[in-house]
Formats: sequence, C-alpha cells, structure tokens
Amino acid sequence: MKKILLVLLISAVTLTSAFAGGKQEANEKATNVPQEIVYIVNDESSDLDPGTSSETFADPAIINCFEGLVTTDANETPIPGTAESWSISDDGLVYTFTIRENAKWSDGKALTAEDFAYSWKRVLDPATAAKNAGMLYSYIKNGSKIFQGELPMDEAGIKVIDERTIEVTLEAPTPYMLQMFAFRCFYPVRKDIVEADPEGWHRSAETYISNGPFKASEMNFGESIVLVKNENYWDAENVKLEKITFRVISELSTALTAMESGDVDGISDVPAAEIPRLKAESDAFYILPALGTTYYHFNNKVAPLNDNRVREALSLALNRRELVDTITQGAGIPAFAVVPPGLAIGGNDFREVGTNYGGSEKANVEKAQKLLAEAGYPNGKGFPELRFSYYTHPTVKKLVEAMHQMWKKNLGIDLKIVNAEWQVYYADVLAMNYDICAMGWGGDYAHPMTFLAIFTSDSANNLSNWSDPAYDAAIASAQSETDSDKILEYMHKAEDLLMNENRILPVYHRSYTMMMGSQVKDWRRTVLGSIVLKDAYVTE
Amino acid sequence: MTDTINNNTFSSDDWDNGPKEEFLKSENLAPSMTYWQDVGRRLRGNIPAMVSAAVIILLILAAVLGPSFSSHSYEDQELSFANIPPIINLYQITPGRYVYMHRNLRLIETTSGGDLIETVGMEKEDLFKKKMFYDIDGTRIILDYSQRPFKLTDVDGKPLETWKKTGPGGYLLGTDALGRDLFVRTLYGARISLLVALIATLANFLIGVIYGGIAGLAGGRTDNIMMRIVDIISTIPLTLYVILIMVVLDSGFLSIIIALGSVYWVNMARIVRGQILALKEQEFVLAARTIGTSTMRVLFQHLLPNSMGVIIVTATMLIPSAIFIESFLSFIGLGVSAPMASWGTLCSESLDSIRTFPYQLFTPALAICITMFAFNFLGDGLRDALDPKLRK
Repeated sequence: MKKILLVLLISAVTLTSAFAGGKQEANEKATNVPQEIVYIVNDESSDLDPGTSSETFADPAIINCFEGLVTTDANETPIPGTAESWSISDDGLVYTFTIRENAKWSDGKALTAEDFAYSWKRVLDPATAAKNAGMLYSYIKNGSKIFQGELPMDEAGIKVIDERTIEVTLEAPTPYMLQMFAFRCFYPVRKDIVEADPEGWHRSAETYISNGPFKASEMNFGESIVLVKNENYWDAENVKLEKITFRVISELSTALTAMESGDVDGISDVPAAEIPRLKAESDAFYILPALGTTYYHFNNKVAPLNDNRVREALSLALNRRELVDTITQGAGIPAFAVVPPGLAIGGNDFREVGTNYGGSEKANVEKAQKLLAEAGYPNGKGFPELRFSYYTHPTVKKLVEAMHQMWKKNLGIDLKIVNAEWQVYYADVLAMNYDICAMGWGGDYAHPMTFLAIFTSDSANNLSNWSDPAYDAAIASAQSETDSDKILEYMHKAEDLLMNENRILPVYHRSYTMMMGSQVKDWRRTVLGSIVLKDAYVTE
Repeated sequence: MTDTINNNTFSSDDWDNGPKEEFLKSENLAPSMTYWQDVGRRLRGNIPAMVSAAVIILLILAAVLGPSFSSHSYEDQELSFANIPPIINLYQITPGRYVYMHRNLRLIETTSGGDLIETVGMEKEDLFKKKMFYDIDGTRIILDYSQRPFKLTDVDGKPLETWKKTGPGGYLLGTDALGRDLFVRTLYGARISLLVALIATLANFLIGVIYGGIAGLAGGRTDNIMMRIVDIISTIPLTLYVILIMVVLDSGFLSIIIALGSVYWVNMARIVRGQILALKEQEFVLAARTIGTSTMRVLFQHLLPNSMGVIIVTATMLIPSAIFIESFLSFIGLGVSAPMASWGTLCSESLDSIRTFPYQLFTPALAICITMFAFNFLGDGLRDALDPKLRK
C-alpha cells in the first residue's frame, strides 16, 4: 500500500508540475477571458503582518502580496526576488544583496535597503513579539543577545551599504539560509505605515502596503480578502491575473458544493469522505505532497505519561495504516517520527537515512500490552482517566475517536475525550493544561530543521512539556555546522533523542487535498502549503 | 299533616330498578362519565394521537432494550468496514467467494449471506487508466473507476453481474465513517433524546408549575417580580447558557442537561400563572378559603389539579422542542462529547460525506422527524381531548 501511495503522490506531483511547467500553453491565453479567480480558504488569520504572524491561514494574502529578496521556484530552489543578485562570502557568513532598480512599494514609493533593515530589526526586537523571531535571532550575528536585551540593536549583523545594497552577517554558516530569506519574516514592511498603527495596519486594505505581485483591495474579515494586480511590482508585465478573491468558508462540504456548482475556481481542502469519488471523476482534484506531520503531544510531566513504557505502549497500540486509509482516505503516510519524507540534506532524504523507531504500520498489540503491564497497568487496570483533547475539525474528530477506541480495545485504557474551539484549545495547550492533545506542524522552509527546531527548550512552539539539554546541543551543533554529513548526523541524533523516548506521538505525514479548475493554469501550491498565483492565468 | 308524612315514608323495598337501558334509550342520554374517562375516550378516538403514542412507547422500548440485541456496542469500530450502506450488491467471483465493491474503491470479501470478512488486497493499480486489478483464487477482476458508476469487470472488460442484493451481516442500517454500527448508534441517540425529554418534563413540573402557581396565586408585587425574572431568563438564548455553562463545566451532556433544567421551565411558568389567575377568583376557591384552607393546600389541592389539562398539553408540546434543542446543540458541536452519539452528532458527522453516503444522514434525520411528529400529534390529541369545551 505504501508504494501505491507513493505512486499516487508522484503522479500528483507530475500532474501539477505539468501545469507549473506548462509554458507551451501560455499562447492559448485568451485576452477576452476575465483574469479573475475566486479561491476558497477554510479559515482566516487576524494577523496578516508578515513580520509577526506564524499562522498558516495568513499565508494566501502574505505570500501573494509580499516578496522577499529571495523567492523560490517550483522545486523550492531559491531564485532572485526583489534582489536582482547576491553574493555569499567564502566562509558562508556574509550575504550581500543587490536590490532591483525598479523595486517599488504598491503605492509607488521606492523600495530601498533601509526598508529591509528596518523590517528585520523590527522582527528582532522583542517588543514586536514576532512569533517567528527565532528564525532571525538564531542565525543573524548577535541576534540572540539582542533579542535577550544584552546588546543594542546596532550590533545586529544587518548593514545597509547604499540604497540598493544590504549586507547580512550570520552567526555561523547556514547552508539553508537562502531558503530562509524567502520566508515571510524576511519580507519588507513599510516603516511609516507600520509605525502609524502597529496593530491595525495589516487589517485594512488602504494601509496594507506591499511589494509583491498583488496588493490588497478589500478586506472583509469573516468573508473574503480581495487582491488586485500590483502595477508597481517590478515584474508586473508577467503577472496576468487582475483579481484574486480569497473567500472564507470554513465548512468543507459547503466549499465543495460551491466548487462543483462552478461558483469558484478553487478550494483549499475537501472532505475526506469525498476523496475516492473526486479522485475517480474530477480532473480538478489534486493530492499534493505536503511538508507536514500530524502528531499528538503527550504531557511528559503528567503521570503515567512520564513513563516511556506507557508512551511506547500508546504508540504501538495504534494501527496507523487503518487510520490513514479510513480517515484521511489514503491522503497521508503513517508517521513514526516528526520529519516528513521529501526533505533532503546534501542530497540525502532525511527520512530515508533515518529509522522508523521500531514502529510498524499495523498495531503491535502484544508488545504494547506487555509494556503497559510492566509499567503497572496490566490490561489498563488502574490507568487514570486522562484527558484526550482536540480542537474542532471534522477530520481531527474522527481521528481522535478512532485512536480513543484503538486504545480502549487494544490496551483497555479509557480516556476522556475533550473538545474545544481552536482559540480556547490552543490557550489551554500553551498553558500545559492537557494530558494528550492533537497538534501538528507544517514546515516553514524546506529543511528538516523547521521540524526539529520546535522541540528545543527555548522554542515557543515546544508544547510537549519536555526539554533536554542534549537535544538543544544537537540542534545548536547542526545549526553551526557546514558539512552536510555532520548536519545530517546531528539532526538524526536530535530526532533520536525525541523519538527513542516517544516524547511525542506522530500519526501521519500529511498531504494536501485540494481542487483547482482546469481553466486556471500555472498556479502552484508549494510543499509548504502556500498557494502561489504570481504566474497563474485563466483560459476559456 | 305529620301523620300523613309518616304514612308516606318509603322503605327501600318500595323502589324498584327500572329497565336502565330502556330508560336511557327513551331519554337519549349518555352514560355518566368522569372527566378523565371522557378524556380517555376522546383520545382513543383520535387515530393520529394513538399511533403517535404507540410510536413513542415503541421508541422507549427500543432505546432501552434495543442495543442489547445487537452484537455491536455504540462505540465499537471496525475501520476496514467503514461507510458500508444498509444494502450491498454482492458479486460472485467463484462459487464460495463473494465480494462487495465499496464506493471508496475497495473490494470487501463477504460470505454468501453478506457477512463482511475482510478487505481484499489489490494486486496493482493503473492510475492513468483508472483501473485496479485484483486476483481472487486465480480469477482476475478489474475495478474500473474511469467513469461513473464504477464497474467491476473481468479481464476482458465485461461488467460482472450483481449476484445478490443483501444487507451487510450484523449491520442493519450500515456503518458510519469509523465502521460503527449505525443502528445501535441511532438507538443510543434515542436514549439521549428521551433522557432529554425526561429532564425537560421534570424541570417543567418541578420548577415551572410550582413557580407559575405561586406567582399566579400570590399576585401583586410578588407576581410582578417573579414574572420579570422569567422575562429576563427567557430573553437570553439557550445556546448562550450552554456556552456559559461549558466554561465552568466541561462540554458534554451534563452542560446541556443543566442548561435545559435551569431555563426550560419558563414557558410552563407563564402558562400556569395565567391559568391560576383565572381560576383563583372562582367560587370553589373562595369556598375553600372561607373554610380556612391554607394557601398551599388551595394551590396543590384545588388550583393545580384543575389546571392539569393545560399543564399536560404544554409539557407534551415542549418535549419535542427540547429534543430538537439537544440535537441542534449537538449538531453545532456543543452537545454530547465523543464517542457518545446523539441524533444531532450523528447528523453533523454524516454531513461531510452527504454526497457519497447519504444514508448516514437519512437514519438520524428520520429518527428526529418521527419523534417530533409523534410528540406533536400526541400533544395535539391531548389538547383536543382535555378541552372541556369540545366535550360532546
């Protein structure tokens, strides 16, 4: 089955790249077709500020309105964005970018090196409370010390040479730094606009000044965000779409109805139960590989979850193959570790080099029962009624119910299922007020570090109530190492520390299931989940 | 005169029972009946109400006893048998080997009677021609999903004939998205709904009737204050109460019960108060008061029994709306917590897959429908039967 799934994923990739690479079709672009598309997203973010937001739901607006110095192509390879070129010093520490001469803001003002320096320093400033600040301060010279207030901001390794040249000095050579420059926390924001209203500038179309292929024209929160072509974009002549409407519909089946009746051009997700039907009959349906892992947190400080035998028993008692086949309808890969397949270091796929930590796709009930008995709970007797929390989402609900029943049947453990809306739920999880909870992580850049860096002790996203100095040391070594074999080794050491003790419970690596009408060409959904419409156009 | 009277004294022997039937016939009179006998008679004559009563009794019996007749429990799941409809088409591959083609593009092997055995492993899949190849005991068959409806064909592409239509063994109404028995889950949902009905009735009787009775009887300022409290309670939507209660307690059935119990009596209180206001000025109440009957006794012995008709009708009419409120709250995710099943959660769970597996929504929706109809018809019948003005 695994092979079938891979074939499926590969064919899906081939299909998309056929679109992405379908330049020969560009000629058939009919000028009389309105270049407008409507795309349904399932949720929206209240924080569309590229510097501070870490929410996936903010992505459609940010990725299409802004552009970093570097951007990425269909293979996640860095290509010039707002910078026309760059040079990297031989020791890999100093990056010098030359900004395009015709780089402008959407209101026509010139985009300069000062704008980038301001934007990055803003993210580095702890007062900004940027959720992704770690992506800057861990790498830029003196970043950590500045973030902790030990050094002034002037000491940061960010230097404006002239109006079009900016120089960045790193703390240590980082092979994947160029990919990071393409991430949203390195996008420029406008100083005068942001300082006039730091909280609200990104919530109104008038003040949402950007530098990317599109600019905001309407922001109707709870309903839609409308983007129009940005005439001041440096590559505006190659941007074909005139208008994009991101409509917010949270109910997956409602979105599918809109798609099937032809009201909209694309939807970002479909109900799992419809996947087999859509796979068979719709040419607008795609299963795309995603860099994301759905895992569950054990609260490592709560007894008896502080016992590895219990955690391992819980992990072994799950039949991940059944979960993936039935609940995600095959759109996923059973997971035994946090880093998903498809991430390479120095040409080696991180997952293929690593082990699967003794996990099997089917449940290993005997071993699980034995471990649980050794831990003092034979047949689940005396096991406390722990809370099993999840946030409101149809797929998560099914998954939680199925896991709950597997544990009950295989181990005799009866957990109490607790449900809450995401905002309430997330606050509880941040406060470590949970026993076992649903969580997941989608990659921010195409390197295994994006998954492993979240479990360090100072990471704001480490919600496992566990930390280990050895883990932090392994991650720090990997971050400062240049030799790709050694990086691979350090990062596997970190993952071993996490998974040998079953600190978290991985369930499956995700795929995206989405629809886009065949009249829309040259769109792209990256493995990081962003819908990129810069090159897209509409045909008959 | 005295003598005359004495002479005219009658003993019981002087009286003789006349022929009663003839007397009645000649005078064209109905036999004398008590009020409740009369109500019973009229209710029995109301066919929809009687059918509804039978349905409700059946429902109660099914909810209490039904699940114990099934080998599945409401939470047992068999993920490989998910989304099996109540009627399945069997194909005979070789004598003794039968398969069912699942709409999720899987083959499930069954016995000749339709009992599900296991998913058949696929040999290979051709993603571009949209075909799946299977090998069963040397017989090769192809699942062709290149166009709807999906077909099961032999190697030459000739569609296989349906061998038999049957129910999936053990699953009377099919299974849901996690392979749980829908029949048992629907019956389990009936338990929840009937429990809600019971709670709503209790709240109405214990709180609503007494509260309304006291307000109506006391009158004046007391009445004013008590009824304004009722007004305030009834202006706040029930959904809000449930959410507020969920902040304190965990989400789940208990929150709904507490919310319903704490606010669901206000309509009853208003109606009872109106009834008491009308009755308390009547002669029998004045008479009772004259001979020194205590206020409480007046209320419980005289006023409330005389309002019983209205109270019963109101209670019967409020039950279906209580059931519906629970279903609604569960539907929007504020109700019973998983893996418990109520009709509302069953509906919301099946909504995701309504295009592919509509039967999953049909069962709980029909159950809600029938129950609502039954209680409403019964309430209607009771109202007609209890109304003395309709007495013929």
